[in-house]
Amino acid sequence: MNTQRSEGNEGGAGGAPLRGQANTPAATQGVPRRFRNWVIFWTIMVWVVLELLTYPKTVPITSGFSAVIKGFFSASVGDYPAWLMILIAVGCFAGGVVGLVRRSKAVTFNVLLLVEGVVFVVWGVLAGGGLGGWSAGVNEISYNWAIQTVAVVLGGVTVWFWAAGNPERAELTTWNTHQVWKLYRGNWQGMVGLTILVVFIAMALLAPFLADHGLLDPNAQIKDPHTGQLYGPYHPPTAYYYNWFGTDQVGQSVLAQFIWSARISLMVGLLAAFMSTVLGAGIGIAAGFYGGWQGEAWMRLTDAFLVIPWLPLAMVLAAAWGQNYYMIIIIIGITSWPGTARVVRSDVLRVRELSFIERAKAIGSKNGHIMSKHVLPNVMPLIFANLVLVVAIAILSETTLSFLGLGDPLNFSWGTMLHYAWVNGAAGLPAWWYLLPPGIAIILVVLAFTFIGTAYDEVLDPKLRKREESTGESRFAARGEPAVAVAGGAGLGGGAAVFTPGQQTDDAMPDFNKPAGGSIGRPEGGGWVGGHIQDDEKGGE
Amino acid sequence: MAQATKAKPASDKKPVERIEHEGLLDVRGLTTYFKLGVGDVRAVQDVSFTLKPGESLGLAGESGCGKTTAALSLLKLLPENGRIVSGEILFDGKNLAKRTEYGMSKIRWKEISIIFQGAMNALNPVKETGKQIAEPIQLHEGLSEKTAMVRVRELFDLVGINPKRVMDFPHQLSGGMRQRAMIAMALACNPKLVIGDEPTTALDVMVQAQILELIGRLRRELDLSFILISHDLSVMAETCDKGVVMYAGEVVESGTTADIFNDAQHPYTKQLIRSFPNIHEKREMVRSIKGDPPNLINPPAGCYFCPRCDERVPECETEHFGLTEVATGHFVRCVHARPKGV
Repeated sequence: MNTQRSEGNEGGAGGAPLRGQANTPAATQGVPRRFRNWVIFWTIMVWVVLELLTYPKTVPITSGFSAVIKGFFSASVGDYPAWLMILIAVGCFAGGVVGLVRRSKAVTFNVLLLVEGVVFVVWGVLAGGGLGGWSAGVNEISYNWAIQTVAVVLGGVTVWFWAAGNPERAELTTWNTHQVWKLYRGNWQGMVGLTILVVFIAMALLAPFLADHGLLDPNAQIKDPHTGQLYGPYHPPTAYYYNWFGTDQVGQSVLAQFIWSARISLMVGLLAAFMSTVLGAGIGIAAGFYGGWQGEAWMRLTDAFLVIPWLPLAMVLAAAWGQNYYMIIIIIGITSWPGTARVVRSDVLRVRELSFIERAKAIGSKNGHIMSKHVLPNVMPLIFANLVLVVAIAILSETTLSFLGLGDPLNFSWGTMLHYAWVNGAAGLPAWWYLLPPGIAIILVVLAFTFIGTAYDEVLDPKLRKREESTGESRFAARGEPAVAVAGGAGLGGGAAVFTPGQQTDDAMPDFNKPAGGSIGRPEGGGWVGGHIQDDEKGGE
Repeated sequence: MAQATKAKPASDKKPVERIEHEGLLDVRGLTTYFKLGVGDVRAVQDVSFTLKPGESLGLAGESGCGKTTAALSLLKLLPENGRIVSGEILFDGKNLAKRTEYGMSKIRWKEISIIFQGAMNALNPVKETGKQIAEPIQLHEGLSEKTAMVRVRELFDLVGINPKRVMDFPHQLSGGMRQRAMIAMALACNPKLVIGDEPTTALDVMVQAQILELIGRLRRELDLSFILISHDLSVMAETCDKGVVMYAGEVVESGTTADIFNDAQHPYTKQLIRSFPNIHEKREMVRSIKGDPPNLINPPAGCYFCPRCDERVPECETEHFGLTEVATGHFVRCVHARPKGV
């Protein structure tokens, strides 16, 4: 990732960067270089993921390379529900209008937000216009691909201009990512988990290219094009690609089911966990922060949900609300939050007693402000770590519901596969090739999320960290000044080479990427040694 | 600033009658109790003092003697089980003891602010220091964060921190800088009175001296009134014009700092002075005061200090004495106290 790359440069510069001189104005317009890379990297990532997610199921891999490429760029608006687009559009409009009304200096950023809102509205209208109904993907208009691209690129540009308005904040964002990644990389559990997860996510995203969606059709049987062999029911695995995992009771490819199931299993798991965490964190913070009857009320509600056996409740809800995977997400979301709420509450009880909360109250801050600005950031690491662990639980819950036959009958998930295998007697045959792949996949993914959750917890909580990672000199010491390496690198950057006191440069933010040859060319008057001292504690004490 | 027009015209509110009183702050008979299951803890009893504009006052005494409670009572920041039982807190023509929570929120920070005990903990570790200092400005003056940050930079400069470090997190600042940041926060809304609750306690002696010097300089520059709460008499001697020595929730001696140090009358004050090393006079062992302060739920009938006192007489066991003015402005609560020249 780009964070790695920048670190490489830092190392290449030869030693810890020294602090530059202190005359640079603190507020400089300009996107920090590392953030620039960050924006470019994530814009491309998001674009690729969205394109892959929305790749039309109807274009199969067997139709040839050119068809695949054409499919990739054709009607790629997939399964976005309309409310998502409306939400994003409204959010963009609100942000832009608020920014403009408050006369924020970042005018470009706010205007771009408004434009982004317009793009989303146009997208929604175009996507849903044809057949009526606001569900993008109903209508296959080939330039939907273009609109999606425009939306993503515009999003990237908007973030870019946000960074130009808030260079310090932007720098902080990238720095945090960078630091967390550096610590995370050293954790073998985390890396194992991440590797497994990346494999499965890649499989899910690339599903249209890995397996023909047509093979999931109830009547589709697989036939080897070379030998002309037709694979009947419960055929054991052979070397033929679609028969790698054998066939099921009607002669369908288990491999194709397996690949397409990854999408539903992962998506349901992630979204349900997200919903459950938002609910749990909100209720946990409220329960912990308000003492007295309000806290008690929230806690009794949590207890009530905790003591209701979730599986019967989920089954009743699934039976009552219908069986599609959005309902499954909501059902898992509203039945699995109490654990999160309890964990978050316990941490909020600790944070609430810290003296800065008392100080905030003394200043006269409102409860809402204290909860969102002081309590939430302090329990955020816990919420994140918990989220990852809840994903594992949510995937298992989805599997359980599907296995019991309460899943979405129109889409395959690993749980649904196990359900069909079970009811059709695969276990008695024994058709191991039908049972093992989904079972092992579930175990691996749940294990991966648990590993990641544990590792993330360790990374964020220094007390759990096994060994102290040296992060080098605090970059904050260099805040606002160009970093100057002792042994200048190849002199590629050299932004600080001609640097006079008071001069405003683009690179006023600390920039470790730049192997600066500046230390040699630094003018005498620059006096970075003086700045060095001044930075620690202002002189004259 | 520009937001001044936002404030409601004064004519909207019903005119508040200005109470005439001495000085900027006049505390008369302040009594604060904490409600506990077993009974009321008489944390502060009948404390009175006055403070003129620009003057500084030290509240001294050992831990648990009610210094901090007295100061928090001034701002009505007591914990839920604490309440002001009686007394008047007259500040700038207003009686704070009778104000509602809403009324106090207009006073806090804009008129009276506080430097909290333990700057390490009074800053949120996951929020930029500057933004935390901007909070009271945004809240009380209705400024945007951007405008407030300009002010924060000025404040950082004022308290001697490099203004470029406003976006630093608290852990990136040294202990002294954090304390400076807390002072900056106290000064954020240009208050008339600042209360320093043990502002130097957790710091080493060098930084302590710097912080005291800073407080002294700021007081002169900004014409602040200052109340210093400290268990350290030497800190009080260095910084304050007036001193109040408290014991078991009561004022045992009050007067100018010179009165208290050069002419201490109360045995507790004398012992307290003796318990600090003196670098000017002949070397003497530092002596601690034996015993513990009395239980404030059921205080003894006589003088509270009696069991620990080395000058006690039989009356001390039974009689609770009032304050005697031994010299102009110098009050002592002791059986031995006699007005000078009488």
